[in-house]
Amino acid sequence: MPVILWGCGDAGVQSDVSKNIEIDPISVQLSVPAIAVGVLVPQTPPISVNTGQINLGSDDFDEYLEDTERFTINKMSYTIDNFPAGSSADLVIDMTIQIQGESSQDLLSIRIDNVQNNPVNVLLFDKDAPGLVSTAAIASLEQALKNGTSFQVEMTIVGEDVTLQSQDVDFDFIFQFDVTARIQLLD
Amino acid sequence: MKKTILILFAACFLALTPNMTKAQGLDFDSFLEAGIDDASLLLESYLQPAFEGFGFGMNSGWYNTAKPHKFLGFDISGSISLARVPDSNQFFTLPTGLTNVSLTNPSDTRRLPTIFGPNLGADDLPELRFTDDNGDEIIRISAPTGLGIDEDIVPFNAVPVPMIQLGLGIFKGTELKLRYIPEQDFEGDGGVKLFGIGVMHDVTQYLPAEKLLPFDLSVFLGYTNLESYVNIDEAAGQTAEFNANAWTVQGVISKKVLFFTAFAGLGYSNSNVDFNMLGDYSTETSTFTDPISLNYKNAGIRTNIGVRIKLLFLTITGEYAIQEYNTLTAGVGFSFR
Repeated sequence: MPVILWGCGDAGVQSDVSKNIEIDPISVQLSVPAIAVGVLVPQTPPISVNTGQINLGSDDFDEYLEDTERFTINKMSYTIDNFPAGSSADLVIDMTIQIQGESSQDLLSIRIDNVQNNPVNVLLFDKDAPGLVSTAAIASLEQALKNGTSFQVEMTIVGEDVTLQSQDVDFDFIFQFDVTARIQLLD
Repeated sequence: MKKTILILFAACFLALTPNMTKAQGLDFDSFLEAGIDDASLLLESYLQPAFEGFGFGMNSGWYNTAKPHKFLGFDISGSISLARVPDSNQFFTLPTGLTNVSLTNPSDTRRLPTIFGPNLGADDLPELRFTDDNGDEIIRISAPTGLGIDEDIVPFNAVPVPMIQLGLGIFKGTELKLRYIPEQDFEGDGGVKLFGIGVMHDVTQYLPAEKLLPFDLSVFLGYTNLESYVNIDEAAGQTAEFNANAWTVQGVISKKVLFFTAFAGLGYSNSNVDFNMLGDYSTETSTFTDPISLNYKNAGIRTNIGVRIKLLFLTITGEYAIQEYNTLTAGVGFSFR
């Protein structure tokens, strides 16, 4: 029987384990002065929100972590949920990542038109076509996953061409990360 | 979620290597997320050559001459049989009937290696997508790799089957053969026991002018039974059970010239192998009891040729059997009378 064990070839036992992970929704509140309810507002003051600490490595790949050679972030996407009907806005968002114990890094700036359409699974980043996303920030994230270090995504959001039917409008911003762990069990 | 990862590594071979429960890069509980039926179908295809090859190998190495021992003559021999996995069994396509497992890339034309297929890295393996009953993705995992036995040990992919046996001459040209390993317990990791019995009977004694015949001719009937188990997680009561039965009936002819005995056989062989995973296995949503039960049956014509070299009491034997899994056997032993 040990023949079987010794007989494993050069590649060893290697596997990619991939998960599409949805982060807990971020609650966002877009506000206008009472006097501006139902009125087109060219721009709202910036608001800051963040995901809170995320640890994909420990939370979602814990059982593989010690055998993981590397993590790859394949895709990042977002979903807007619960933006109320009747209100409308475009959003300009600056995203940074902050890995625990490190300083923040710029990740991406995006514009979301017609957020009232509640867009679903909109691609922010694709490893095969990184676009405007900072590849350095992505590399730092992947290393953080391997180290089991938590991080958070911070967003500064400005509403443009905003028309709200109430002074405050709440909606959810949801991140999805598609992540692959390369696992090497036997060399 | 994962108590038992990487379970696919040929459970029949796990007994001596408990760490191998972690050796295949595949989360068995994730397989179960896709449902018992899908998990069984995948395992059945992936493990097929291991169990079939084992069945063919068990029917090898029984004899190295057609001449039974004289009364109370005996031999003790050990052998290793290598049941060559046919090229067609080194890969498999995803079985039909899967409901919650699919290729992540449906246009991926690569086939999946069986356990006795080539040893491939993750980049060269198709990716499997596991979904729940609602069609929502649970996880994606590289198809399990083959072991690539041919890279190191032998120049071809083969299932090794070691065996030890005793032959004893009794009466009227009859020889009894015994294979026996008493129940072994591997310190809580698992256990194995083996029993086999064979009978060779000289038929030349019934032929006219038997003394003048330039060869020996016998009939042989052999049966082997192996029972083994592996404790995947003893505390959780999770066990993998592997039982195999094989029998063969052969006509055997041999001719001795000096130290050399050439022999050949023709007959029929049959094997029946069961593999069961027993105990409770939990996923995030369900608990499955005794989730996997696989059975492999094979039968067919078996033809073999071989040669034995006998130096005083020492015998060295080589045999090649032509069957679905052509099997090469090498043995060494001591023979008296």
